[in-house]
Amino acid sequence: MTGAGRRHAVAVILFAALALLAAGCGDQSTLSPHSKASRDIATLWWWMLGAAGVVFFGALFLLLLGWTRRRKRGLPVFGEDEGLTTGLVVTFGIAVPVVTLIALFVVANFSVVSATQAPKTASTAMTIQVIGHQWFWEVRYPGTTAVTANEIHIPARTRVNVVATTTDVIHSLWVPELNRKIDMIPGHRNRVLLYADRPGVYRGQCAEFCGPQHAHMSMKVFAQPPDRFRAWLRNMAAPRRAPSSPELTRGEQVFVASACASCHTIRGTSAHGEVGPDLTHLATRTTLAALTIPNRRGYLGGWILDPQHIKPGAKMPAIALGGADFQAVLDYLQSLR
Amino acid sequence: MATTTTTTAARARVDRLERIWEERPGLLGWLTTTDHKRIGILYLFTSLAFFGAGGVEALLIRTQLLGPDKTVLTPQQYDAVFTMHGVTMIFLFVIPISIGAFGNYLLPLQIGARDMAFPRLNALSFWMFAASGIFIYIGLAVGQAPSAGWFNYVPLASKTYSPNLGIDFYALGLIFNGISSTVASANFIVTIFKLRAPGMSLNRMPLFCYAFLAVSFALLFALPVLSVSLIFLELDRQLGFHFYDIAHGGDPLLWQHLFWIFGHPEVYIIILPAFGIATSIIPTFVRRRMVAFPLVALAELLVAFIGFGVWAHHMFATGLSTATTVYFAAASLVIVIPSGIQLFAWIMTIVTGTPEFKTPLLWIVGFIVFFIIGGLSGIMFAAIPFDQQLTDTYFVVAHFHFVIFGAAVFPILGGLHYWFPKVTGRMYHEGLGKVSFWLTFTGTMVTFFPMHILGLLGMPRRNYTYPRDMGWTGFNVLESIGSYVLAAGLVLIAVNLAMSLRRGAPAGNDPWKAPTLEWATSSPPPPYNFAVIPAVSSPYAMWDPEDREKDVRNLEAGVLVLEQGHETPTSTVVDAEWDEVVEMPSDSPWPISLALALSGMFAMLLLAHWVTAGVFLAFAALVLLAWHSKEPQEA
Amino acid sequence: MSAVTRSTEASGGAEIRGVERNRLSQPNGWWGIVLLIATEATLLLAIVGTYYYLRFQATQWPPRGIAAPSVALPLVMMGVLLLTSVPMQLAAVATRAGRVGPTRALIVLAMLVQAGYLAVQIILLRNDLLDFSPAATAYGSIYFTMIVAHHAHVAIGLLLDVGILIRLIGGLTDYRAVGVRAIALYWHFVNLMAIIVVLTQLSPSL
Ligand code: HEA
Ligand code: HEA
Ligand code: HEC
Ligand code: CUA
Ligand SMILES: [Cu+2]
Repeated sequence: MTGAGRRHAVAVILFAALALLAAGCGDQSTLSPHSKASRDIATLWWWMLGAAGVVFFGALFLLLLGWTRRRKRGLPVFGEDEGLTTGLVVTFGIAVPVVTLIALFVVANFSVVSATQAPKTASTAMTIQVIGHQWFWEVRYPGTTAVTANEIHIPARTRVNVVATTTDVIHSLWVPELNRKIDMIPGHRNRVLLYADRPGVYRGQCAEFCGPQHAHMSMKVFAQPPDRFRAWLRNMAAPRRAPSSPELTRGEQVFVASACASCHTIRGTSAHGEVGPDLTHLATRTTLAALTIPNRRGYLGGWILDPQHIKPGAKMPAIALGGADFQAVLDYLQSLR
Repeated sequence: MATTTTTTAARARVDRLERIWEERPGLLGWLTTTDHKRIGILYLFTSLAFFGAGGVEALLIRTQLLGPDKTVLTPQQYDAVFTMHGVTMIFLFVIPISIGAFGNYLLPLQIGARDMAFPRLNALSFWMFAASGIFIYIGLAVGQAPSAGWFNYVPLASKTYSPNLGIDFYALGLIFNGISSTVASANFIVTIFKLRAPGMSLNRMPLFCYAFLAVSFALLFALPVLSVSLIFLELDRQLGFHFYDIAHGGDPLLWQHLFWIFGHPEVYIIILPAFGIATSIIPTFVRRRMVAFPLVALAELLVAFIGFGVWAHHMFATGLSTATTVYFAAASLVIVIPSGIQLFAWIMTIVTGTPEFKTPLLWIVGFIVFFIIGGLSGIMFAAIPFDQQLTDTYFVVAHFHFVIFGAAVFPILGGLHYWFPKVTGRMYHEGLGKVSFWLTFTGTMVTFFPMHILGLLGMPRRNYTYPRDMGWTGFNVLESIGSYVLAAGLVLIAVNLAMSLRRGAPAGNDPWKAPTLEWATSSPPPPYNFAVIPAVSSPYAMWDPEDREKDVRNLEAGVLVLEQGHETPTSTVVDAEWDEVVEMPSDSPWPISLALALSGMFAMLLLAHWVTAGVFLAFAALVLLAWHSKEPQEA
Repeated sequence: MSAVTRSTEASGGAEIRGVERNRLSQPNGWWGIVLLIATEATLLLAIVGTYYYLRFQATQWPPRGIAAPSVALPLVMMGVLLLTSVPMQLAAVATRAGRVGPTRALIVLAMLVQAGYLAVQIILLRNDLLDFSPAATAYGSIYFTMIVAHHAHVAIGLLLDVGILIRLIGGLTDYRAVGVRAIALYWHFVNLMAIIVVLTQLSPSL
């Protein structure tokens, strides 16, 4: 059957491509694991793929047999033997699957699953809280005053207990290179483990459809050496860096006096809004608006002038600030390290 | 069969039947018809129209995703489009075409009956289905399309986060649609139980009918749960109730449970008719009976049954307790067994038969290939951690398009070719048929296979766009190209069938030498289906020549012709002993009127005009009264 | 041919008796109502299931400020409704024997009780509505939805009663005989559901 040949070729090419991709790039790939949990899942996948391949090509072989023997009745060698044919159906359709499935069940749902489970409460000192919003991630570090957004810092090689909740609709927290995902559901406090083998940056994305900007609800996990992490956390917990020049003071005044303050918090000022991300240390972030744009002056300005162009539907309106005010606010925000 | 007899007495009987069963001509005839074949054809064209709409939506999705950061659709439009795509394909295309069109047209023929058990109810289900589809599409037309995905999770679908009428169109439209399917499934069950030709005991019933029996039961028990979840949703949205509202003691997860208690049986409802079609086509073209017949029949029923116990495998990432997830994972694995039995029964039948790879069988082979791949990826989701990693990514989209498009729609397309000669009396073009198959097959592979890889590479589903630097672009481009190829294949089918309607070679009663009873009668069948209720002594009735000779003798002797009135025999449930003869209602204006009254009611519910809705309900009650104003024997 | 029943032509006591004797299995209409009952039962059970789902989710049930339902009257009412299964079943038996007089009388008797039940229930529902609202808490939402769903089934049963009684004015036919049996079956279902719904409704006080 030419179709089978063609199909085979397609499959081979695609899997070759897959292998290549899995080896190299893949910012957010489940196949480039950086933790035990993720690695176990990836290994499970490769084994399942192997087994599935055997089943698939076995069945395909039977179909090809049917094609080559299309003019002959009965089975090869055994001929027309209904009992045997039914026996084969029972073997392939019941016996083989039962064995395979029991193996899969035990390995996947008892062994692998335990690696991905959230840490038992009190088994780790490190707990963080991630709160989903349409469409950004709020990150809190219980025990400290630190609040940030979209860029989650964790110490590497530490079992981090993540409490995942939401303020509005359902979101799902997912950093595939580190672990499986967990939904954030109103009224439910779900937990998941985050663990990184080594320092690095791991991309994650909201996995449950949450409205028009679901596609732009990404985040990054920065796994840092523990001392670097502690330094970062100290900085995050501190209030905003006080303006060090008249220009910056003016920026802060404009910000606090304008609509911005009704939605954003900048700790240390009177801006206590809770609708948008905490901006206290905005300048330390590498991206804006949940990884939609880089955190650079031009983009930042563009965002404030017209967020709806960059992220249509985002919950921040365009704010008309006068030219000088606008520059002052930009300067100020860029100073918030 | 009617044509093979020569005696004048037999002729006179056939003429009498012709007169008694004559259908009203013209448009009015179509609007008031209760003939299951005409209703089947109405279902066919309506659901194909929705297939076209769902397909256009699919192509819009693929075009938007043809490259990163494209702006073919705005985010809001994209959300509306994929939601409408899912809703259309599932509720307005696959289920109506497989159950409404294939089931309606073929089931009475395969069991040797003259119509469905409740012909007017049958018309009612069609008109309600059509009305519900139009209802939902009006939402799109007035710019208020649902856009919270086909499973419509709350709180995104609550009034707070989806303030326009889109979700109300969805909820009320689907309740309406659900009533239609419920009514249809009850009708199918009674038809299968009671109207089988005397002699067709359950073990002599074709596997196709088993599949439809299983589907009907699944629908009957699954749909009320959907209705309940939708009623709760509307009460929350329109009257401020709090079923799903956590702040007042409700729970968003309640929606997910209710939806998937319906939703998972639903996916087997989608695939079972395809199984039925496969078990019709395979024996015909491999020229042998199905291997392991009783096992396959049992498996069809089991799939429908077990399908009710696995719903939470759609919720593995919601933080359910370990015990719960492990149970549902185990149940999901159990369901593989009946699927495996059927799969290998089909394959072994092909292996041990002498297959002739005509277009219909090619579609079935394609179906088998896709079902294996899609089924295997389904099993992978029963590995909880793997599911938690891959759920809500394109891996899921790949899984279900393999099983839904590759496995459930391919047999439908094969069935269109297989039964084309029966319905139209003409043959389709075999060469074009094969080309369109290979085109569609290749297109389907190229469209949906890379989605597995995308999922593994971390691309979540329902994203209106994706960043440039993720390594996703190439696969997306490939998929989009594949979808155009796939569409071209489908259009070619349409062209082939449309042209053959006029130019095809005359088909005769039984061009395939097929085993089931629909081939016993002329093509297209007369309104009364069979001049004489056929004798049956195996599920492969047409392969029992003595029975067919007996039919001719019966016609000549006037046995089982029932030319006294608009009648059909009923028989006992298990053994199909001849029980009594019942009068069948003929064309009636009430079904369509009732559907219209209910449409009015749903429109008013949508607009929260409660009193007007009540008026329409009263109007519906009046129609019902008129419907029952005549007892059958007074007709 | 003549051995086969043409039941739809039967009318009058003797013929109906004959049809019932000759019939080998339940008629189509009976199966139709059985399936309708099956699907409606699923609907009601999904609602009852929701009640318990919400209940076990809650810390306090009924929520603070809402009194637990009072038990006595609803239980008595339920008992009375259950009793109507008896006349309905007897009516079904009477039709099988082709006796139209008793059929009518029994249905009227059952119907009066059923209508009384619905009337009292509606009054109770109004009283509940004065105490708490379906739009205030999930408890209210499920409580009222469940009860109204039950009432709707009783109301439909009453309409069926009326319909068949009107039909029976013209005497008995097989069509009507099947109708009576189907309606009796429907009432058995409503009554069974009444047990489940009422016990669920009262469960916080039991
Ligand atoms: C026609 C429709 C159809 C069919 C038949 C199936 C069949 C199966 N599905 Fe699928 N499924 C869907 C339609 C379907 N599914 C849809 C629409 C969704 C997504 C909804 C959404 O989110 O939008 C979904 C999602 C879905 C999920 C949730 C994924 C997620 O969102 O996280 C899961 C999880 O367990 C699952 C499992 C299965 C299983 C185990 C089968 C099994 O029945 C498969 C059985 C078949 C085989 C296994 C192949 C043949 C057998 C053999 C070859 C025997 C040999 C086998 C072995 C030795 C192992 N499906
Ligand atoms: C039966 C179900 C079904 C079918 C058949 C299809 C068919 C197709 N689907 Fe769809 N799909 C779903 C059910 C289905 N889908 C569901 C449930 C979802 C989830 C939605 C959600 O997330 O809420 C989904 C989601 C979905 C997505 C993911 C969107 C996202 O997550 O962002 C994509 C993306 O590519 C897609 C593509 C396609 C394509 C290219 C086809 C193609 O196969 C379509 C090809 C069809 C045509 C091109 C029409 C041509 C036909 C005619 C012109 C009539 C011809 C006449 C004759 C044949 C006689 N579908
Ligand atoms: C009505 C509420 C609202 C107002 C007013 C508002 N914002 Fe925002 N802002 C938001 C929301 C919500 C987001 C998150 C958007 C997203 O990513 O989807 C946001 C995001 C931002 C970000 C990106 C933060 C990050 O970490 O990615 C910046 C910077 C910002 N706003 C600055 C401003 C400034 C400056 C003003 C006033 C001129 C302002 N905002 C006014 C709601 C508001
Ligand atoms: Cu948040 Cu998707
Ligand atoms: Cu499922």
